[in-house]
Amino acid sequence: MIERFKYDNKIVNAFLMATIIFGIVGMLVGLTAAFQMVIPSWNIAEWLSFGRLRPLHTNAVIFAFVGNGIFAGVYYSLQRLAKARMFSDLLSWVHFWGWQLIIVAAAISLPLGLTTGKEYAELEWPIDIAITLIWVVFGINMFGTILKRRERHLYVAIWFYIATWVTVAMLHIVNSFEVPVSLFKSYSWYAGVQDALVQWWYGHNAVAFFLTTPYLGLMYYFMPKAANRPVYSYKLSIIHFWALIFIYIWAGPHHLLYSSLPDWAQSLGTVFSIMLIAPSWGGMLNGLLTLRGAWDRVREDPILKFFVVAITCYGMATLEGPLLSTKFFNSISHFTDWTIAHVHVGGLGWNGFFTFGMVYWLVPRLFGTKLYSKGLANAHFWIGTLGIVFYAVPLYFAGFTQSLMWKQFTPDGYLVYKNFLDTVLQIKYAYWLRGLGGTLYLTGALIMVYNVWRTAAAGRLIKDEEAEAPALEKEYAGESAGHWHRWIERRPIQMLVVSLVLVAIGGVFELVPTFLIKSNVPTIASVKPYTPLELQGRDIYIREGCYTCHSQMVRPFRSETERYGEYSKAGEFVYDHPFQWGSKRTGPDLHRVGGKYPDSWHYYHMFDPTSMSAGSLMPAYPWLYEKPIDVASTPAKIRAMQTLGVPYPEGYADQANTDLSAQADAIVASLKKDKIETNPELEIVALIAYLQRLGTDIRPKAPAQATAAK
Amino acid sequence: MLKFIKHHLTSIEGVDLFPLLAFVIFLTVFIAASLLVLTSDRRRIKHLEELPFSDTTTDRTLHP
Repeated sequence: MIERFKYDNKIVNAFLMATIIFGIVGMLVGLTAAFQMVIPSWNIAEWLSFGRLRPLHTNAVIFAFVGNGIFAGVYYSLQRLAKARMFSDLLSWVHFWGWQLIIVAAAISLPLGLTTGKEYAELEWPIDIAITLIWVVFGINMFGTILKRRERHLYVAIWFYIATWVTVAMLHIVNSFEVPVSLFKSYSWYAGVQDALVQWWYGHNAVAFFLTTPYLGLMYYFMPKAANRPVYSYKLSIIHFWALIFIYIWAGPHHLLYSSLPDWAQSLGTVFSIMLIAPSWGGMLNGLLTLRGAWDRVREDPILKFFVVAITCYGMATLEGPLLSTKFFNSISHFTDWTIAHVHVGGLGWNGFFTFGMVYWLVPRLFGTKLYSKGLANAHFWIGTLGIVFYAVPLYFAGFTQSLMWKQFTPDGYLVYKNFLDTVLQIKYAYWLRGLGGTLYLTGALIMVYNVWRTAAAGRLIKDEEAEAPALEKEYAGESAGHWHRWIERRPIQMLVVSLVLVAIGGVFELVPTFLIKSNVPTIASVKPYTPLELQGRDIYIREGCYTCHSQMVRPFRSETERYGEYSKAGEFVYDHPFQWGSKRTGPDLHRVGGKYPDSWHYYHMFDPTSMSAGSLMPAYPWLYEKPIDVASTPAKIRAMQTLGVPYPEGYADQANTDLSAQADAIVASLKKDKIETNPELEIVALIAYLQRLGTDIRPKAPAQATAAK
Repeated sequence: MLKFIKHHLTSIEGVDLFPLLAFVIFLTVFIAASLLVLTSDRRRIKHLEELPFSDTTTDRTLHP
C-alpha cells in the first residue's frame, strides 16, 4: 500500500523569498533608524522620523523576516515529517498572500503614524483582525496536514510548531482587545498597570513563542539534517519542550521590575525567568551536541557555521535574559542600550543566523542544484559575525556607562550629570559603532541575496517533489504494552489542548489577580481623566512614537527621584489607555515633566530641539506647527473612553470641543506672554497641553500654570 | 511602596493560595515530564529521532 504524492516546494520557496526580501527591508529600516540617532537631520520627513521607523523596523524584522522564515521552515519540514503534502494548496496560498498583505499594510500604516502605541503590537485593529484570520488559516492548514499524515509519530519539531500556533493565537487575541474610535484608531481595553502587564506578558511571550519556540522546532529539524545525524538526545528534547513552554509564559513581568506593577508579580517574573535558564540551556546543548563527532565539518560547511553561532547566541541571550531579570542587574540595565544589545544578540545571532543557515540549506535543494558559491557564503558568515560583534559590544559599554552616569552622585549628594543629555553625548560613539555593525550585517545579507540569486538561476525550482510512503493503517492496535505518553504523542489535538492549558495557567496566574485588583486600586482622588485637549495631545504623542525614546515611569531610586521627581504610582495611570511607560530612555523620563518648563520651552523645543538643548539628538517636529488638531474626532474619542470606564460626565462628548478650545486659548495666551504668536488650532498646542499635564495630578498643589485649565 | 501594594493584595480573598498553587503546578509538570522521559521505550525514541531522515523523497540526489 505505497502511496505516491508530491511535496509542495513552490510554497516553501515563496515564503523563503519573502523572508529574504523583507529581511533586507527590515534591516535597512533598522539601519536608517540607527543612523537617525546620531544624525538627527536624517529624520527627513514626518513619516520617516525615528518614532515611526522604529516600530516599522521591529515589526518588519519580527513579523515579516522571522515570520516568513518560520512559515518557510514549517512548510518544508512539516510536509516531510508528516510524509504528506500540505493539507490544502489553496489555504497555503491564502496564508502566503494574506501574510504579505498584512506586512504591506503595516509598512504603510506605521509610517503614517497609525499605531496603538503598544510595543510590538503597534498595528491598528483592522490589521489585528486580519492577522487573526490568517493565523487561523495557517492553523487549519497545519493541523489538516498533521491529521492526514502518513507517519504515526509526531516528531518533536511538530510539537514546537503546535505550541507556537496556539500560544501566539492566545497572546495576540488577549493583547489586542481594543475599542475602535475610527477605522484607523483604537484605544487599548486595558489601562495603566493592567495594560502594562498584559502588554509585557504579550511582548515577552512574543519573543518566546514567535522568535524562540518555532525556531527551536526548526533547529530540531534542520540541525540534524545539516549535520546528517540525529539530535543529540531525543529524551532531552521532550523535557526541553514541556519545561520551556510551561515556564516561559510566567516570565513576562520581568520587563516591569521597579515599576508600579505589584511587587509579587515582579517577583514571580524573576523566579520563573531564572528557572528558564535550565530548559533554554538544555535546548542549546541539545542543538550543539548534535554535532558530536562532526565538529570537523563545521570548518568546511558554512551552514553548520551559521547554525553553531546561532545556537551559541541563543545560549548567550537566554543566560543574559534571566540575569537581567534579577533586580540587581535590572536596576542597571533597564531603560539603557544594554537591552538593545541583548535583543540583537538574539535577533541578529539566533534568528538571523539560523535563517541564513536555513536559506543556504534549502535553496540548492529547492532548485535541484548546488550552492553557487561556498566562498561567498563563508564571507557572509564572517562579515555577519563581525557585524554582530560591532553591534552588540559597543552597546553593552554604552548601556553600562550611561546607567552609571545616571546614578552618580557628588559627595554632597547631588547628581553629577544633572543634564540628561550629557549622558547621551557620552555614548554617541557607541551609536556610530552600532551603525557600523549594522552595515556589516546588512552587507553580509546582501551577499547572500546574490548567492541565492545565482544558485536559483543555475537550477530550476522543483515545484512538486515526488515522494512515496505507506499509507497509515486506519485501525492501529498499537504496540500492546502502550506507553501512556502515546496518548498525547500521536494525537495532535490533545497536544494542542495540553499546550494551551499549560500556557494558559501561567497567563491566568499572572493576569487574574491584577485584574481583580481593578475594583480596589486605591484610585488616587486627585487623579482626573485627561481634558479633551490633553487627550488629543496624548494621541499625537502616541502617533509620533515618543515612547520609543522616552519612558513615563520614575522608578523608586534616589537617582531617579532626584532627577525626575516623585516616583510613579500605580493609581496615576488608571486613565492611560494605552499605558506609555516605554522601555528605553534615549531621552529623559517624562512622567514628571508637567510644569517643569514653561509652555514656550516646549514650543521652541519641539520645533528645534537643539535650540533649547544644544547637541540634542532628538528629531524636530515641524509638522506639528502646520497641522490642525483633529477636533472632529474628539466626541468619538471621549465616547470610546467612556466605554472603557473613564468617568467623563454623561453627554460630555458633545461639549468636549468647547473645553478643548478654551484650554487651547489659555496656552496660546501663555505663549504670547513669551512673545510667541501661534494658532490655538495647531497640534503643537495639544501636545504642550499633554506634556504639561504629565505627572501633575498628585502634586500637593499644582504650580501656577496657564495650562492647568481644569 | 510595599504598603501600597500589600493593601490591594490582601484585599483579594485567598491570595496566599496563588504562590502555593503556582509552585505545585510547576512541580507537577516537571515531574510528569521527567517521568515521561525516564519511562520511555528505547526503540520508540530511536524511531522518533530518525524521523527527519525518512522523508521518502523518491529523488535521492536531493537528500543524500
